[in-house]
Amino acid sequence: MIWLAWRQFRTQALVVAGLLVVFATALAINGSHLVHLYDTTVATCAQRNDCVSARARFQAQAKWHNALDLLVLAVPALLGAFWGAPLVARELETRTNLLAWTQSVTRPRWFLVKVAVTGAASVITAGLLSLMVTWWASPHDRLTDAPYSVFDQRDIVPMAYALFAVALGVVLGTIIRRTVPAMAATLAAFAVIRIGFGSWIRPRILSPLHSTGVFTLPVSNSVVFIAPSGVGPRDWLLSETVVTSTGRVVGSYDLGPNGAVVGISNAFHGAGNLNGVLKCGNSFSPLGQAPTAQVQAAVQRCVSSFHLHTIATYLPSSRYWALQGSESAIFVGGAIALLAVGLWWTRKRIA
Amino acid sequence: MTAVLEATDLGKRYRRKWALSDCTLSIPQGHVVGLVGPNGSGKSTLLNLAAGLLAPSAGRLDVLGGTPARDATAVGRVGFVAQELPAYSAFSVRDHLRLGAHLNPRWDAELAKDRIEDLGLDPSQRAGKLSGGQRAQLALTLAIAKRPELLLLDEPVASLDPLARREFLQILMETVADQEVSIVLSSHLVSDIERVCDYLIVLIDSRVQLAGDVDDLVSSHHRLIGSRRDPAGYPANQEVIDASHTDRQSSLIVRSHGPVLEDAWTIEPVSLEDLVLAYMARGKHPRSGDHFDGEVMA
Repeated sequence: MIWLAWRQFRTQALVVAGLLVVFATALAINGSHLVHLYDTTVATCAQRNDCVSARARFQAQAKWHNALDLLVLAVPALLGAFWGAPLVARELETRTNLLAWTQSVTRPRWFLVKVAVTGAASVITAGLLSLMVTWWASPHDRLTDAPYSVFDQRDIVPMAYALFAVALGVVLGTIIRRTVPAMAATLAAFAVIRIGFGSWIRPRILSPLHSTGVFTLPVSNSVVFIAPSGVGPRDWLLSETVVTSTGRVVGSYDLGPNGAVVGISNAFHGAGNLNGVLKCGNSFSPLGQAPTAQVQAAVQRCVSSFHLHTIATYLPSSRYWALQGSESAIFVGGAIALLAVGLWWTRKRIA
Repeated sequence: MTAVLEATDLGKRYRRKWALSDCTLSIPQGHVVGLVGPNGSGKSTLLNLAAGLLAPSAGRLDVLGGTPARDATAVGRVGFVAQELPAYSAFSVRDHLRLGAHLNPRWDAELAKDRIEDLGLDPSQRAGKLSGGQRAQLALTLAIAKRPELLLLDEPVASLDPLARREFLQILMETVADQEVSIVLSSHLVSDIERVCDYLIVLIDSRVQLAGDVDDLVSSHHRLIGSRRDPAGYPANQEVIDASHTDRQSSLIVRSHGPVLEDAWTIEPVSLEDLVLAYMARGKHPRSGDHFDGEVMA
């Protein structure tokens, strides 16, 4: 049965292997160039005191960054659609399952061997791709220094996504029984599941830490990012809440995965009434105008008198690998559950 | 007589529609059995059930003494040529033989190779480029070379032209002549398969209308031709299967268990095809009182 599974799969497998070799070569050449560039510009910029231009120069060179990240995101979905969905559906469509099932092979074995060969190839493909891109992007990732912002395009999770996508494709193909609709359904379902998972489930997999600090206003308008006290730029800031000394919530910000806060200047101006809970009087400069030092001091005094605290909820960078492992385990578990459904369906429901 | 296939009240339902219901029949070992019936009579469903491709919705089916396709050994003992003659179109003929060799522990590589040579098939030809007749031969080769004890062919010649039909059946007979294999082949036309069958089962609406050794069937049925008359005037000791009338003449097909002695009638032999058609006509419009429910089977 392994022979048949491989014989049916080998052309696609060889094409993809060829593409991976070409891709690896290109990335190796460009990647070593980037490593050198990083070492000679960004890594040593502090000595020469030109970090802003050094970073700009490096980022201009690492321009494939977005395209490669997108590729790592897309490949598991494509594997699910092009390798997973037709695996059973095409046999049902061309009736070749009748040929296979009337040799001396049981249906479960037929199903499991085919899935094993395709699943293994998909995991290897996604794993190699992730490995290459993770290595290629490592100087760039060091520069941005926000590991959670590229969480699902790096390291081990792409392999789990690929396995899940293939299992999803196989099951949808088995149930739908037609190749092209099954491919479309796989792409759509996988996209929905991945986006939904990233938004709703990933922040809840590991229990986050909380950090409490005194609420202070930005020193000036030029400050664009203020990490809540105790939360570093490498951590994943899930949310930040401002509370009064009695625990009353007066405002909150939901922040991006790397903690890039954009709402802080609004907090400054909005501090005049802090969502209508507290008032500081009218001594503020209008929106869009830089406040004078006196105004700032007055606001600061006023705000301080309310004894406001910030409570930041975050996942520290030390949990990165734990989250990679947990999310991978969930997707692998999902894949196994899907394949169990596919196996059952193949045994009982297909005529 | 041992049975290679034994069905008891067998039924198969697709959603609400029964494709086969209350089917009780027994197929004896060591025969080439023709399973004949009109389209929709349940032949294909029965063979698919026997091959383990379908699971029964009701009743019981034993093939070679057990549930069909319960394990790899059971699947290996039954050969099946599906109506669609499926083949992997990207695979060459040689790949199909390799497939057979890898998937069947009892594979007879010598037999398969010789057959492909005799047929004049190019081993490197892709299955997608074969003619209908060649594909049927390839499917048959795969089914035979796995050395089954029971070979099921579901309307194998339905899609072939007359010449390819004859060739296919001829080669089927030559190939199985020296093998200990029981064969069941279905068709909606008895003329397609009467040359190769020595046992016949007529199935109409899941019911066995007629079953028996071909020679016995032919010798126990007769056509009686006489002047036109009512059913009251039919011979009393004969079972009338079918009657047709012209203005002056009545023509009956009768089944008799002893010699036919009817002075008033001209007695003629009946061809297998006419005989089957007579049963089919009766099965389609069963007259009250003479419904036949398979007691001739034995």
